[in-house]
Amino acid sequence: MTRNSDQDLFTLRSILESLEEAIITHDMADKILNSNQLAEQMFDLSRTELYGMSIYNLIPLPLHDEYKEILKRRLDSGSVSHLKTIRLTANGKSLAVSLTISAIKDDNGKIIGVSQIIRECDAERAFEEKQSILAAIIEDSEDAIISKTLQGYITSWNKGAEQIFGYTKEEVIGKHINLLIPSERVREEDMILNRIREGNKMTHFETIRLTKSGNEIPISLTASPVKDKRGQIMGISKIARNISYKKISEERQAILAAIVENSDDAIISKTVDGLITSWNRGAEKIFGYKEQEVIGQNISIIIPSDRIDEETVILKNIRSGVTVDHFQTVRLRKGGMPLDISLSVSPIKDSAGRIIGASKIARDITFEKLAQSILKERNKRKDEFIAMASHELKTPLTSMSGYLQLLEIKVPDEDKVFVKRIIRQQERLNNLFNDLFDISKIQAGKLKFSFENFDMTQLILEVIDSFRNANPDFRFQVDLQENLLIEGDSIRLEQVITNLLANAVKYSPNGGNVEVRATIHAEELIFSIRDQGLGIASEHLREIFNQYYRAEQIDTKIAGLGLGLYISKEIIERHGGRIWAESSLGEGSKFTVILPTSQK
Amino acid sequence: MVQKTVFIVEDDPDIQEVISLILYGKGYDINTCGTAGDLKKEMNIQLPDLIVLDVRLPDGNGIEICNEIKKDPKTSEIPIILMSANKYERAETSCANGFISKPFNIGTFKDKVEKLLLR
Repeated sequence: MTRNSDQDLFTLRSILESLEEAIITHDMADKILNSNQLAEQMFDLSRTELYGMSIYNLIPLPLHDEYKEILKRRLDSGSVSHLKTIRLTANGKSLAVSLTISAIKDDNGKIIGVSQIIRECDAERAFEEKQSILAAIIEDSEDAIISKTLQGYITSWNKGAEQIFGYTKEEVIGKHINLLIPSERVREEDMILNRIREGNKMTHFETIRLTKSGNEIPISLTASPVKDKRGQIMGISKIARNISYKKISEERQAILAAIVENSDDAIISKTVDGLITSWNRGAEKIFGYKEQEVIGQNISIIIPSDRIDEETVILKNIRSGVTVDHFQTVRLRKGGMPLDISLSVSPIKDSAGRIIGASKIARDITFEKLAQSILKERNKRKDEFIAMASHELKTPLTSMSGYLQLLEIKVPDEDKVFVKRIIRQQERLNNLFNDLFDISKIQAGKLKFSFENFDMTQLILEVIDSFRNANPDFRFQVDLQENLLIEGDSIRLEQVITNLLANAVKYSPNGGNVEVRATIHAEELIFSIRDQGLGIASEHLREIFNQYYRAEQIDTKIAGLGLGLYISKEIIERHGGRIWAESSLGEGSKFTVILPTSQK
Repeated sequence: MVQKTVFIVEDDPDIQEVISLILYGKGYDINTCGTAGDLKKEMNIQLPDLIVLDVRLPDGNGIEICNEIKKDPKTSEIPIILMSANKYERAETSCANGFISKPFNIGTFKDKVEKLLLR
């Protein structure tokens, strides 16, 4: 061999090695003669292992025929390019490859061997895919992703950048980045450029930038150097995030934190196992422990030993997502002094909705409790006062009534009418007192009932008899079923019937018919009174059963406190019954009472 | 006919007088007591045929006194009429033989007393 051809061979060899593709040659006996480094890497074999090995060792058995066919038929006509097929590595891994196969001919044109260039398809495809994924990510990112030269000229601009800064790609490519920087911050950019030139990154740098319309917006900036294959810095990539929303939520968070911190209520958070994780100033004030004393401690340090079970129940509820609202209980101050508190506990969930703890709001209700007991005492005194007042008012009324009745007997007939009138007025006074006492009892929840079985027919007839005697201008038409036996408080029910009849008479200044009906149907007593009086406008119908209602709404010439229907409704409802009115102005009124026949 | 004795237990002198006037001329021996203490003293001297007893007395509760009298075998047979300004107290006065709410109708009062004395 000449020195020249030696040199040629060396040159070829170095070209072979510098190719970015694997190359293998073999002779016509299929023995591998030559390969480059990439081929050795691809098949995981050393050069010595490869040399002399049959090429078929690198081909999966089912594909042997394919290769034989190529060698036999197609090499005469030149080469085979980009044959997509499969090859095997030394450890049996299949590789998808693209082959270019050429014949090696001697000076006479006789085929003496075969060379093949092998490209791994996977790597090729993966690289392309990765590239397009990255491009899509960059393009669709809500963050602005910008690249620029080391001198600050913009070289790429994604959709996020368009949205945040308002410029289109066409408007900014090639422009200097200073376009986005407020004049007072231009030095900031020099600082960033310097850091990048030194090869440093800059992460989450919060600053202000300008949009196309000149608005300043808060952004968070991450800048990194872009390097070429050799590691040389050739530019800068910048990711800018609009943090206006983040700013707002941070501000909101700060406000909430301030509220929690300054609340007079104790606001405590704990894990689902009861370990304290936060403790505000209110908690320090109410329970006397400093934050650092209790963080990490079990919540049981503020729970009296006889109430530990409560906490078990609360934690169980919290774990299943149930909140506890205004639960009044007792907790311990530092030093063991018991405190009356009202407790609200709610689960704390993470962003995935899992319960990770509980927040507890405790209000010191010592004062409320004290106020309650004072109120209770006051109420007791009020009740005593009412009982006494009732007795004190009734005593003179009783002797007055007695003397008047005796006087009525003694005076000559022509004067009896005067005494009768005084007696009527005294009776009205007595009824007004009774109503006032009833009201105060209803309000105190102390209107007592004693239920017994009695004949309602009898009771209604007795009341009507007394009305007949006192009101000769009225015709009382009575339609009663016999033996209307019901269970109820006969005195209270007599009061209702008296009240309804008194209203019928009172609101019928021209007299007329008063119809009274009662019957029992399906274990209910149905009792109604219909008059031919003034009637009630429909808008007032619902309200006439309200306390004090009449005082404002009804003709002031007709006397009364407006308590009768309110008391009647209370009595009927306490019997489990209903009362309502049907009426229209000028048409008279009909009141109906439904009562269950037994109290069960 | 033996004269019947009626004790009126009522602290208000006017009501005492009204009741005495209502029952006057019926041939009853009327004995008025202003307090529960007075009643006890009188009962030690003589047992009445009827007691008209106010519920609210300066030194005691008529309902309790009624229960005591009814429990004592020596006095349990004496009829008692309880009086109260609170007519809804009637249910609590079941120990008594009658109930009168204040103010009362003198006719009704007379009837109740007479009925109990006739037994």
